Amino acid sequence: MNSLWVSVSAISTILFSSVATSNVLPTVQKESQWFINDEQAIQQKVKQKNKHKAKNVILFVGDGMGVSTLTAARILQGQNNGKSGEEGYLSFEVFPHTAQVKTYNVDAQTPDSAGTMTAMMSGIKTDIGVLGVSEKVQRGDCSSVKGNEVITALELAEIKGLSTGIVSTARITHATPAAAYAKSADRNWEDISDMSDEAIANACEDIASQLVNFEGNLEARFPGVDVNGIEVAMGGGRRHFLPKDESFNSTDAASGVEGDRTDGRDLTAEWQAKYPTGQYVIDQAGFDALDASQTSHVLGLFNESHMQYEVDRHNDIAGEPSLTQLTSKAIDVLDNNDKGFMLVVESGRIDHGHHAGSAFNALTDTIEFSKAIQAAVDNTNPEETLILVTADHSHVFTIAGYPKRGNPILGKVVGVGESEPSLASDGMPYTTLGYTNGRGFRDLATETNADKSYDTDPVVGRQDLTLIDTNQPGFHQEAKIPTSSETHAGEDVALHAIGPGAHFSQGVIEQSVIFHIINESLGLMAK
Amino acid sequence: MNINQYLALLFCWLFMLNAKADDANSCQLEQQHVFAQYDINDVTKQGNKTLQQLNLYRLDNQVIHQYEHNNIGLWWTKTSHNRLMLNRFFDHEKRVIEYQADEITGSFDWHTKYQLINEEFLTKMKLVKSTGEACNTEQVLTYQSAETTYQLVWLPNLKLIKSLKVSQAEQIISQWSLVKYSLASDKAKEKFTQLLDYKSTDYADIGDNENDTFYRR
Ligand SMILES: [Zn+2]
Repeated sequence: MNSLWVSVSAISTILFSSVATSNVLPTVQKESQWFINDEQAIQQKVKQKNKHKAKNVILFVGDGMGVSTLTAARILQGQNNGKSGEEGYLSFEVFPHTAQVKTYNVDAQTPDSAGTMTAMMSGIKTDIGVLGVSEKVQRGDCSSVKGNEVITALELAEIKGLSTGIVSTARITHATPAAAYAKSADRNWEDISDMSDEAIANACEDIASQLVNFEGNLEARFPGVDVNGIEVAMGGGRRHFLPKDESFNSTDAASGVEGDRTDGRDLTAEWQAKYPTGQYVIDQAGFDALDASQTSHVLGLFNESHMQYEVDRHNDIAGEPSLTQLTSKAIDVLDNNDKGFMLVVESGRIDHGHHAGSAFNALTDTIEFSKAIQAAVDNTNPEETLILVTADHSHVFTIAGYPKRGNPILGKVVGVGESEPSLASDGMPYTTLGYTNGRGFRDLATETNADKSYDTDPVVGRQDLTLIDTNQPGFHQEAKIPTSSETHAGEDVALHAIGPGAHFSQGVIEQSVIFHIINESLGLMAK
Repeated sequence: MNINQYLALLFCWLFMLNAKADDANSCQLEQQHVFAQYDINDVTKQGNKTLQQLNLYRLDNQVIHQYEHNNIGLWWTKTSHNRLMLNRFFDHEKRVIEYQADEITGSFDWHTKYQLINEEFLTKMKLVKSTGEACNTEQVLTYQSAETTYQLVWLPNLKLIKSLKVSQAEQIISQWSLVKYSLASDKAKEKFTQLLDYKSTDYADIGDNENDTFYRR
């Protein structure tokens, strides 16, 4: 009787409270689209069921993609589609789980990609500038590496029999992709010509060589382990794989001598010899001709240095695939393995756009990154694939002033209710987007390559923008402090997650926790 | 006349004797490997005079411009696919910064680097007289715009400026003179070989080399 009373009472309380609440809510509030949408969002959360174990993991890293970059890119994406912009989402911003990630390196408040990606891939924080090694290593000192090499999630996945892949729009030997497979006391040891005499004398192996020798090196470190190599490696950086000899130039060569290697090794030929059924491709045509279902291994090196900014791709000599195409193809190759796969995808040039002080390039590459993630969502089963999206670090990039809703994000601040640009106390207009430091103002009109800003000296401080169209691709935002290049920033970044294990992404976490999220959902380490 | 100049002229003279029947194009090979030094006297609007020394190196499809007083040099390569690649080099530090190759869109891009004067401008100039033969051919050319007068002594088969005078209102504002040059130059070859050993960095990577003091300046 008592229990019945309780339950009846509980029901009546629920009924009463819900009636009471809906009665209390003013119509203007409960019929508001904001209110309806947001209530639906909560109901989605209520229905959410969490699964722990994933078959596949894809880790997306937007290099330098801080939170202000997400906001600004989301607005630009909306405005490019004729909308106001603020109300939209980048593809991954609708993922159900997020965390706030602390990015500092062991010895640095503001980090770099080498230390941060090592944290994500290996589950430990380490020093700035080093790859796949612990903080005990002295940067640039090869002799300090021995015994301090760590194992990465990609290596563990390989040992577990999963297929593995690395994709980047930067050089594939650049810090972020390299942290997945290489051990190096210096991120700059991309090929042997970049190494010190000490490093060569002490037999440290350059990063490009470590990529090609990945399978053998892993088997040598763990006797008895039999792996079959990284199935997909696609990005830029051909120069580090070819001898410094014009006769090795590819048809896509931009420099007089494309290769940088001073040891005469042609790593592309070595790779082909190791993987006779693998495909080595250098351009769009070769990429398009890949038959994913029939391809065991792919090495794609589409540029001698970094790949083009997304808006600049049409300028490439032999043509380059987009990050979206690279991601889709990588998944198509990797999912041939019934055991599952682990894929790392980096959008490497968001960082370069910011370093050059160009919001335009940073944001347009972020939008392409968002498309690549959508392609991954569309091409995988959400029941079995954990997709993580994060950044390695932020940039000193701000969204400032009081622009009205829908004000062009690359434009000058126009206040609420106004139609003319607001003026600062110096009587001049100013842009919403800006940088604390860097090379500063440029008016390069329709130039879509941000790196042109390195041609001339920094121009910092206030500029009269009255007659300048700041929405043009070639406009570089003002900066306050002159530096050779705009810098990384030290604030936290976001982690977005969907799929089995996504709910481990919560709270404020050290960046190295990302490894443990991957490990937990893939079961990489036998318990 | 210094020894280099003397040797260069002697070389040309011998060459002419041996190959008199050949047309001027026989200089083609020698002018592709060149070291040339210019004195450039400029006068500012305020009447201040400056003297700079410019070294020009050519090796086939590569050109260097380097001012004597300056540690920085500009190094261009005309690559396949009709692109122009710029590198900046720093002799003291033995460093190179590589810029992205751009498509060459007009003669301005390449000729102003290779021969220090725009080919289109040359064709607009009026030939006043021509002396000498083959490698020794010298042309005096002039051009008059509304405000500016250009007087050029041009070595068409060596593709070198011998002298250039630019004046406004009867005042010389810029004067270039060829101090010395050598054809089929080993000095040019050495310079380009030396650059291959410098440590090079892609300009897009400057931002991620925060620990490198070289970029702080
Ligand atoms: Zn960076």
